[in-house]
Amino acid sequence: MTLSSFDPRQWPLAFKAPLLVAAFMLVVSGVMTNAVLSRLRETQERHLAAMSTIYLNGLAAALIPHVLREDIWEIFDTIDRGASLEGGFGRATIVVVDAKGLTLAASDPKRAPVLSQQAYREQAFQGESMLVDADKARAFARRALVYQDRRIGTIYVDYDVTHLLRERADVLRTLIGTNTAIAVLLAAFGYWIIRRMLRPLRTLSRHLDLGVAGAVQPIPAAEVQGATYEFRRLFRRFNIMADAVNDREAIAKELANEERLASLGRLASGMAHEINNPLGGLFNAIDTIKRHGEKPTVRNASLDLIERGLRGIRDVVRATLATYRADRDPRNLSAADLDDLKLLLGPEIARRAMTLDWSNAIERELPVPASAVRQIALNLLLNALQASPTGARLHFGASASGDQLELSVHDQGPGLSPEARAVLDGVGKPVSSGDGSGLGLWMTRRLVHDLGGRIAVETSPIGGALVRVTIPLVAIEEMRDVA
Amino acid sequence: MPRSPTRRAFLATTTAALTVSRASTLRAAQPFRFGLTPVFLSSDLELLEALQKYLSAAMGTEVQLVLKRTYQEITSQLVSGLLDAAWICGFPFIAYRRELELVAVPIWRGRMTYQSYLIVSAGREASAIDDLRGDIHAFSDPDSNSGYLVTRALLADRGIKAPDFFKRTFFTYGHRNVVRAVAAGLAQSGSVDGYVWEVMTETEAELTRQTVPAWRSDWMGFPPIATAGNNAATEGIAKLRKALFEMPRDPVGRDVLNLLRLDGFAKGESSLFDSIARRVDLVRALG
Repeated sequence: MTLSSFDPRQWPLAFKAPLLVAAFMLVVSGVMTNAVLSRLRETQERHLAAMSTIYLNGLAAALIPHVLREDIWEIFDTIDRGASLEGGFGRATIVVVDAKGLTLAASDPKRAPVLSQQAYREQAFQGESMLVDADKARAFARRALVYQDRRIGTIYVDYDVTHLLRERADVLRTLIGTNTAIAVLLAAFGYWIIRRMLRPLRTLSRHLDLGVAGAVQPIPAAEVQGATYEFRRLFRRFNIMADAVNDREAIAKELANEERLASLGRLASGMAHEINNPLGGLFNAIDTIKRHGEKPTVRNASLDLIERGLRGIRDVVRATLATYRADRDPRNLSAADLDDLKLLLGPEIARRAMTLDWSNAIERELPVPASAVRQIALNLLLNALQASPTGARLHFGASASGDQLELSVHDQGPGLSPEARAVLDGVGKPVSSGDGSGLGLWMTRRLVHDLGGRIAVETSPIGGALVRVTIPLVAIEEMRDVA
Repeated sequence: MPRSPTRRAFLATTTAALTVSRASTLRAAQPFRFGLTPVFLSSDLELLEALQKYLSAAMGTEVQLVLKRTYQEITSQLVSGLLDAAWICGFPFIAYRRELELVAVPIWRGRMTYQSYLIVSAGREASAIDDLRGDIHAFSDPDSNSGYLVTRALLADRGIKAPDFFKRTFFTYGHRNVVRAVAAGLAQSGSVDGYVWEVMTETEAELTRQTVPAWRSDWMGFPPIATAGNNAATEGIAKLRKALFEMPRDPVGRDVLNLLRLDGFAKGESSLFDSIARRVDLVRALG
């Protein structure tokens, strides 16, 4: 469990929504319970007071003649029967006192003996006609016994209101029980419905996860048909996108191939010159041999010339073929692979009167695919060449240090445009491949990314841009896994 | 005796029954009016029904049971001839000795006598009236022997009047009520008919268990059935006496006796009530 899981904003919706429902119910039930209970309390006390008044009026009517005569037995007999006849309120305790506050009789004479002083009872009321003591579950009431405008005594009653309190407790229990049940049911229902509603999102998420590993898998038609209207649309869009992505991936692969050929194409005129230049000399040499072939010195010199010319042509052709056949020829990189590029670029450099400083410090075979690194270097060099003005200087450096290969290309151009820069070092960011020149850079980025390398764009000390590529020297398969 | 709805219900039923029977017998004869005081356990509707049924059958005439709250009402109605006969107490019998004639005396536990008890709440230490000074005391009825006269005589013997001896006294107009008052704690002590208390130990043990007799009087004549002197020789009285004497030989009569816990009725002698007469004299002497 991470720290973020304590942040409610990050809880899953399927958990949060039911929790919210439950919390809402809790608040609602709290307010409702409070309202119901206070209404119940009011109603109970109003009823109690009303019943008490009726009861005491009846009792007073029965008692007044006996109180006038101070007939202790009849008072006792009346209240004793009254106390037990009194339905709905549990058993009442009744004390009847005379005008001086002395007990005439009580329903429980042991607690209020005849002639005992009960004046303290009057003080407790302080003008109220009814008191409810919820702790002791008793309600206290009194009634003056008035005969011919003279107060001849008072009845004090306390009712057992346990049943009222029990009723309140019952209501409270019922409310809590019902509300909890409703809250739990709603929460469970909410959980179920949210889970159900989010199921298409999980499908989408699963398919996106699959897409990261390889080609994007379209959502099966059956699942699309089974989804709700909104998600059906979403799924269809996703499938269209998946198809588009897969198409683009296929095109990108095709492009990589095409681009390699394109880079050769861009060098074709230079290479044609490279082949054409010695051709003139070669034809001359053949002429010379035709005419003066009998002279051994001339013949030998001409054959030498032809041999050198043909060897030059062979080298150019070989380098071109090596670039062309990249896919069919997987092998590790050696210094010669990069040096080939100097040969390919030579004619173009010469044509534009540029200087190429070549510093290839690779001394051994490196565990990186030769064709990919060649293509990276070639693309970067072509880009630098294109960006630099006539007569400028370029610098290419290659070195292997410890566990990584570093390539660097300096130029004296105006520097990389922000777009080009984004194409190169914005690994993972979506970029439009834009115009033709950008394609080379975009391919470069893909290749470097595939090799698990990094591209850094800086300013070169010789004035223009410096593009530095670092490629780790570990097994490529492993790198892919880490990436 | 509680003046509970049972009595009213009873009276209502009786009156209704009488109205019907009168109409059907075309005003044959006046019913025989028999008065009852709370001297015995008249709270029992079953008993009253059985008694009425038995007497009517045994006497061959309609018998009307008349119940009053106090001994006084019964006694005065008896003396004035409104009642043909009544079950009264020994005290009014002595007090109206010249106007009344003895019809029969009940036999309880083989004797025609009973005692008066001074009862206190269970657990209280008391063995004589002197222990009850300053009590709130419950009497049964001002015309009751066991429930008033005996205690007054006991105090008169000491030269004291009840209001000076007790903190407060009151009448409950029923022996059972005295037991209730003492059991509930309304009174701290009470004067009660020993026969009633003893029978209640069987019928209402939970009530008597809360009380205990602190003192018992000597044996006195059991509350008798009496009639007005000028009425004593009538046929009705003869039939009543015969019905009472034959009670143990009749199933309904046995039911009545069983409910009353009595053995039967005997002729009795007025000398049975001599000790009561002495008490009356003693009390009157004190003024």
